Amino acid sequence: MPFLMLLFLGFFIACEPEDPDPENDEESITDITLNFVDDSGNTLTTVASDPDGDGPEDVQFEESFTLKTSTQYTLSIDLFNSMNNEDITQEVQEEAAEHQMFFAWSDGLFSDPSGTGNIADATGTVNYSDSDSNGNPLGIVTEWTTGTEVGTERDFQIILKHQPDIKTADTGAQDGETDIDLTFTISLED
Amino acid sequence: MSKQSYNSVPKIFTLAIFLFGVNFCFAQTDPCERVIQGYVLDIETDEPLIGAAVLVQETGQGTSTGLDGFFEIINVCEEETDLVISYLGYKKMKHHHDAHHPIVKVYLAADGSMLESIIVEAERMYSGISTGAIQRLTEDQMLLATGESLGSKLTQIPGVTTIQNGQNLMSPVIHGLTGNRIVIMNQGVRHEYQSWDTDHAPEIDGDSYQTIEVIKGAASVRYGADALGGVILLEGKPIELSSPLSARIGLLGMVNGRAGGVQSQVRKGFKNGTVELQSNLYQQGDLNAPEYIMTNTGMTTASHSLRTRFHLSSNLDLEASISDLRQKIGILRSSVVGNLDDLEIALNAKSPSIQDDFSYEIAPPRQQIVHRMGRLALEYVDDHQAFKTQYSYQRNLREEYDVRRGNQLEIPNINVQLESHIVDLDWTHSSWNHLDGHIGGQWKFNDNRNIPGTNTVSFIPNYISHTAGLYAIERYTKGQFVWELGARLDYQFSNIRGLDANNDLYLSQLQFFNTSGILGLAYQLNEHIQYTSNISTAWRPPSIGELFRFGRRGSFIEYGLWRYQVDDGRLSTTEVQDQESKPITAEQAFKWVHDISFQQEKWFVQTTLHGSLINNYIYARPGGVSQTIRGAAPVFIYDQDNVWIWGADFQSSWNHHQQWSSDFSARYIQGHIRSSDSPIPMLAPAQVAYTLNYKADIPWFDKFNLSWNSEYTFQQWDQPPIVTVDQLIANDPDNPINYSLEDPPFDVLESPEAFFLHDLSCLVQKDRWQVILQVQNVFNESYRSYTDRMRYFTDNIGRQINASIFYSI
Repeated sequence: MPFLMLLFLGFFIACEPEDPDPENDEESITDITLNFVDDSGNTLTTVASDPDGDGPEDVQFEESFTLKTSTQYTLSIDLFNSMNNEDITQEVQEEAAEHQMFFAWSDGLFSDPSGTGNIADATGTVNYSDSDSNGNPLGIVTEWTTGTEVGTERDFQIILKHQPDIKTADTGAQDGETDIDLTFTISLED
Repeated sequence: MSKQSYNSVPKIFTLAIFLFGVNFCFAQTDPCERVIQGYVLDIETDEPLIGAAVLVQETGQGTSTGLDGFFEIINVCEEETDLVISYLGYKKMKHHHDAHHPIVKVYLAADGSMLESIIVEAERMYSGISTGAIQRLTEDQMLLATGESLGSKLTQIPGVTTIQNGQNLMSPVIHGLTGNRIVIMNQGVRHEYQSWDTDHAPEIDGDSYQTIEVIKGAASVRYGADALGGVILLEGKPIELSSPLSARIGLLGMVNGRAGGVQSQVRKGFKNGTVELQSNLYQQGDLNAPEYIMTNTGMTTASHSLRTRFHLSSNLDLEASISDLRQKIGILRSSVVGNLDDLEIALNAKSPSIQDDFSYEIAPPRQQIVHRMGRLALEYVDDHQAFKTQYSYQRNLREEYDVRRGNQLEIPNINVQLESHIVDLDWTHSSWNHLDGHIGGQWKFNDNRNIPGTNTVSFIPNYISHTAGLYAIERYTKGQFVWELGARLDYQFSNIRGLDANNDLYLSQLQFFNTSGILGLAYQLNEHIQYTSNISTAWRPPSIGELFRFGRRGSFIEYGLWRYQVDDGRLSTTEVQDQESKPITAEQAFKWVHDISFQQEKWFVQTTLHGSLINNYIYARPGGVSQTIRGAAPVFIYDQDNVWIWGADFQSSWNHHQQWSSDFSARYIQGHIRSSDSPIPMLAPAQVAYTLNYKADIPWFDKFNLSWNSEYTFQQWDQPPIVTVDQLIANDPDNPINYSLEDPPFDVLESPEAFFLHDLSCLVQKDRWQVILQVQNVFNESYRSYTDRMRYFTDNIGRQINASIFYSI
């Protein structure tokens, strides 16, 4: 009886496991690009990337990034998944009602908005140029005017929060889960 | 027969059986020289029934029981007979007796009682090891824990605790070891599941078993790899041949979580077979902590089983059973954190950040499981031996859903199927020169497959593995001593295929040879004192999860043993390792268990002392903090080290009076990693518990039991070092102060304070009705448990009031 069972089993049992199917990681964001566009259409760009995703390598930032003093910029942020060659920006925009970008910066980096951003204090001002279907800000596109004083190595932090079912006009950087939390370094020159 | 004598006689009887009769006691060979022996006892009090009539129906031979309830009918010619056992005021019962079966123990139920009279063919422990510390849940314990998970039921046995991931996910822990360091035997079939993570509770409906037994010893010699901490044995209740149709239907209700359940069971014994059909359904909504709702902590369970036995001849029995379990388990919504800052916000919050209105909806994060099992067993018994062969098939489907971006929300991020085929052979031979024992073997085949479409890199690879084992356990009985000696040889081969983060294929093969053994002694000093001691070894190959896991789990990043290497003090994960580049040794455990029990008329005391050394213990330790796009995340790497664990369990009961009794229990355990002398994380803190029982004598009721239980759990003082989230965030990877590659495991929070919980329960029986009323956490105490991962995010469940009602026919 047991021997019959063993024979019977032989039919089912392979010696090799199946090859796993490749999976496209559609969630990871590996490259974040900040595009600062001034009035005349000149674009200044900096990229933060983490090509190994959950690997141990830290995020890499470009060496130096400089904006002009007292200049008005439109910032648009590109989110990209290089493992899968996929643009995530559009996905976030489609789900604007459950995402929001928050910002914080060193005092003096910008003259407008004034203050130091809306991460530590959710009531801080940021000039959002886009919004979701409920009229709440998204933050993929924002408006900025740089400060008047020349300076180096100032912090510019962006946080993208995923706030499914909880996003309101009052929710801040403390609510929901973090999809992005990066701090860029920006210098100002005349 | 005074009730004060309580159960002293049968307990001694039990001990005697425990010593001498764990396996089959074989009858005489010559026809007409067969002897039928046994005891007749009261089912509720365990007292012997003196003068009960026992009759062999076919021949009219008969006798009546003596002072200790013992009977003996000699010169029986028939191989199979029908015994009729009767006693005034008790339900008469008929038992189909085979000459090859052991001493019978007949439990008669009083006429008015809802219980049925039953037969136990020798106090058969299911363990197959007779010198270990083995404990079984009593019928009342099982009854009062109706509707609770398996893990929760088992905590009534001293030394068994749980590791929880909230109220719905409880993994049993035996002497500090859990998951794939213990083995669960489901009706003789090794439960195969994704045991590589402690937040994967075994997919078992504890309510579909009537016997739950725990071996608190390393039992690899009988059960194969992984049985380092112990073994949990789950069995159904045997059904008598030619027994009438019986059915039991129950309704369960719980206030906290607005939970409800239906349980039903139908059993029937035919002339040549038995059948049992069981079905349990359960639904629970969001649970409440004392001060707030815990959103997304609902759960549903549906379990069905069919068990049959065919009595082919007096020698041969065929058993066939199938079961199906489906569970959907919600995990607290507010426990999802993206990075260290999120974790810090959650730790500092007084209550969970997301609190919605009560709902039965189970949204991500959640686990969905389907576990199916089919089993076919053939047992041959004759005068000299018993031979059992069993084939089983299991299919375990696990889907885990995380909170993902919009359109991915209903796509599981882990979707794996594990299929297992197991063949068991066991030969039990009869006593020969004081020697008896088992010889057997096991062959197991596992096939694990990731089901495509998760849109994320698979956390564990595809693999197949073959395991083969051969064992022999012999027992030498002489006088008051029983010596036990056993050895086992195991071979395991695994073939692995997985994809790394870049979707590049990696292949790996693993082979292990291992030997394990047991040396044990049971000594009956006198009628009051029994001592057992055994030294045993167990082994465990590294699980696929421990070798190959890669990536994010919650706010942490984890790398398995073969997914990283350390170059010049820095981690690198570019190459997937193998046995050649990074040799891994199997875990090897040595465990010494002493068990001393003292039994007197009014007292019962049992103490278990245990000590283990585990070499090459696999655990997760810090690997630094990685800066990711999502912010800072701590990295954990799997590594091996030697550990020790020791502890003691204590249990006692005292009958003050015929209606009043007390139970007292206590446990203590300590375990350290040897190289760093740092505590093993998540070991249960010490606990003492006291129960006062009152059996009210109310004329109208058949049974009216009340009990009050108070349980004090100490703070875990012996906990790993604390590294706060602040310190982790401030950690400089190039100059680590707080958290480096060489550090032992740490915790981000102090262990929770001690807590004192009180439960009240009431069990009432009248005719065919049985009602259980319970209040748990009577004073609605807010507390957090050290062994619950949800302690970082929420208090434990508040007051729970539950009621269940059963009707039997």
